[in-house]
Amino acid sequence: MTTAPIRVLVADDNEDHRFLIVRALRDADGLALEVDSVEDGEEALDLLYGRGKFAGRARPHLVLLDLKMPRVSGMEVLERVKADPALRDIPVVVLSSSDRPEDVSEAYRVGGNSYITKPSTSAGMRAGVAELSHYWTRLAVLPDTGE
Amino acid sequence: MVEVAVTIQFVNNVLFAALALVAYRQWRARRDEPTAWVAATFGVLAAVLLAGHVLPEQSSSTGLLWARKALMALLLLFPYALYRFAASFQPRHGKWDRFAGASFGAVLLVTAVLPPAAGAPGDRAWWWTVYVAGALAYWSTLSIYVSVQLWRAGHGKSTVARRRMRVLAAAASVLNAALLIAGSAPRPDDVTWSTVAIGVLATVSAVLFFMGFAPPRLLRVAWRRPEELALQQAQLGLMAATTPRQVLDLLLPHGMAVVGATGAALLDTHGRVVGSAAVSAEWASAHADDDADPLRLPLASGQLVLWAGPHTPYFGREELDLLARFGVVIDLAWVRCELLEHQRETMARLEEAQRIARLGAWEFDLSTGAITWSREMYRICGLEEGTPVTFGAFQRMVHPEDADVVMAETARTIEGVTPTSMDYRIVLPDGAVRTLHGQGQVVRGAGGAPARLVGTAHDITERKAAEHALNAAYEGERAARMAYERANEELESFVYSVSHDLKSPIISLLGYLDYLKLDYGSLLPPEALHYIERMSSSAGYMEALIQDLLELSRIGRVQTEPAVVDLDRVVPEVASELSASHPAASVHVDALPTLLVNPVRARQLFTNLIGNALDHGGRADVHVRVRTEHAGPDGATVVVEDDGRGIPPAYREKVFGVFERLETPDDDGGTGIGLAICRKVMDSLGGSIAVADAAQGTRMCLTFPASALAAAASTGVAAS
Repeated sequence: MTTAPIRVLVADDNEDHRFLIVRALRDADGLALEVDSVEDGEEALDLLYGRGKFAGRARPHLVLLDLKMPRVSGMEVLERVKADPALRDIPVVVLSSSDRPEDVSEAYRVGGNSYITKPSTSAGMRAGVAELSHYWTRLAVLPDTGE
Repeated sequence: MVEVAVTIQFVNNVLFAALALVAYRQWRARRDEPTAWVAATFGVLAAVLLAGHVLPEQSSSTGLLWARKALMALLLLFPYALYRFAASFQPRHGKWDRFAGASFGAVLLVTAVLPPAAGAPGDRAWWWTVYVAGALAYWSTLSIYVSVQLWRAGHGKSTVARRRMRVLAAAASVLNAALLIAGSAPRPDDVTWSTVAIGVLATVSAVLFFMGFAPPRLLRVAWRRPEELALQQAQLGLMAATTPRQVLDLLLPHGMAVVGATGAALLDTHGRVVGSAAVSAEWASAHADDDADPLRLPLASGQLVLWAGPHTPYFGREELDLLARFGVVIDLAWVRCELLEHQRETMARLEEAQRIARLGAWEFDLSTGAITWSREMYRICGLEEGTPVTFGAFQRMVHPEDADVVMAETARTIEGVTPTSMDYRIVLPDGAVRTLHGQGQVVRGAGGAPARLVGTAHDITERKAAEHALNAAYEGERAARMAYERANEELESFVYSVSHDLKSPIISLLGYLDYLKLDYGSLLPPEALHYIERMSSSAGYMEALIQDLLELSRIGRVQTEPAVVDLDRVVPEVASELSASHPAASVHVDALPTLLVNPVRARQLFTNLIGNALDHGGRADVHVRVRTEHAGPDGATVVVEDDGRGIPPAYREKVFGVFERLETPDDDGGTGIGLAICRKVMDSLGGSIAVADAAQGTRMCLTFPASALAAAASTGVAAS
């Protein structure tokens, strides 16, 4: 376990959802998180590769990814991340409003670590996000990010 | 001259003696009235002739005188006996009978009282002449009467009878003539030309009498020729007859001709008149039972009755034998014609059956290539009956598309053993297309080689058209059903995507409202907080609604594998989950069956039902019970009942509609879709859900079909 803040990337094209997820992450007690949020797949990749706008940024420890995004979709981001040896060990949790089985199986097929359907109630959202961040930040072993 | 006269006299004696003998023998054989009188007639004559020889010519002794008188009396008996013979055929003719009897009696009397003729014949006394004239008149009258009677009676009779009767008439006349000459001769003792003439006439009359009373066989055969010919004609005709009507038309006139009848009728075995000739049927049936007249010939078909007149039994005896022979031929012909008629009727019925069924029969001779068709076959193929048909012509009639099949199947039939069948179309001469169902079988000749094909062709055009129409209707229905199902699917899909798309903004709305309360609640006045509360509530309802709509639409769309669901485990779980928010209520679960269903749906089902009972019972301490009402190999019925408010009868069906609610949204937060989801789940299982009668509260009946039950149903297992 590291003592440095854990970096989380939230990718979602819906600004309200972004707010809610980020807020839920922040409200989850006992966690020191640095949360970045992007609104499309392009920006997500930029941040992951530390290029463009986010040049020099360190890799995140955890990614919460929506599937439906403009320019580059979440599925594509997932695919690219899991295909890249340098990035593939970053846990990516798909957080999507879609509950279609084909999306779920595709996400897992390309290497997604987890698939969570966005809870509709805010209580559900807060609890859900808290649980998943607890899991990934405390119970799972995060990759060494080479700091 | 004398020698001639003597010879003639001798011949006459012999002839008349022979006649008497023959007459006597006839009488002995038949012993009827006519033969009796004939015997009397010639017996008398013969006696007179013989006695005349024996007795001396002239004598004056008293005994001789009386002997002569007796002979005279006997001689005078001759015409009377002859008269009685002729009269024996007819019913008594009162006038003539009396005259004959009276005149005979008178003559007899005179003969008895007459003194002997004295002197030479030339100069006899006047009274002698009167006496002779009277006797001659008496003789002639009766003789003429008989001749006329017999001659006229011969009219219309059979040839033999007619000839005989007329010959007799002639014979009587000739004898009469002889007598008249004898009576008027001045000197009967002298042998002059008149003596010879008398003798010759007597001979002639004797011969004629022979021909009349006892004609020799050759003569009879010769006379009978016309009847024989007529009979042969009739026989030829009968052999050619093919219907009972034809037999009838031949037998009546020919029967009449053979016996010389004036009328004929055929009676059936019950005595009814079937047909008649020369007389009306009414007259025939009225006179059929007359004992006297008719000749009856028994036949296979009944009885032939011929009215032939009273003379026929005596004069036309052989014709009766001819008739009997004729009867045999008639019977043969009749039986044959009845068989033919029966066969014709059978054939007609068969053809009628074929016509009604539109079934034609055909036969194909493989060696000659000749084809034989039944009448209906011609009709089916639109050809004139009797048109010669060859296999080639038939082939040309077959629809071009079916030609190959027909040829192949025909070849198969020839090779095969069992009958074959096929459907094929033919094109009629007028261009119409008919569909036939043909069946055929090969008939093998000696040695097992195929000899001919026989079979039927059934015109099934109408049936095929009906089949097509039925198929088309079925297809139409199927298409309509598929269109309906597609529309349904599209609707479900639409509901799903709309509901899904609505989820995002709901998430945002609910989230912000929550954080508004959380972050800034303390800064807001109570009214503002109340507004936020109302907003949250509405948004929450929206969320629940969308959730349920998604569920509803998903039931049809998403097919998940059924699994073994032990309701004894699942329902108590659902019950305890729901009871958590209804602490005062109680849920009791009895033994429940094990289902083979989608586990999520099963859960949904009972969550909705028990939830409904707890939420809408109307009081906090509502008691809910889940139990099995019926479980067997045909299915299971599970009941969820409560003692709450109950559902009014008018709403028992409505509650299953989407968005149907019995209370305002405030009171329970229900979306009104729960029961719609339950119904959809039950429908998809092939079962049903309904509100049942209950004294108090609500009783929901779930009927699961046998296909929804797991093989090992757990009945009688106590609930946990």
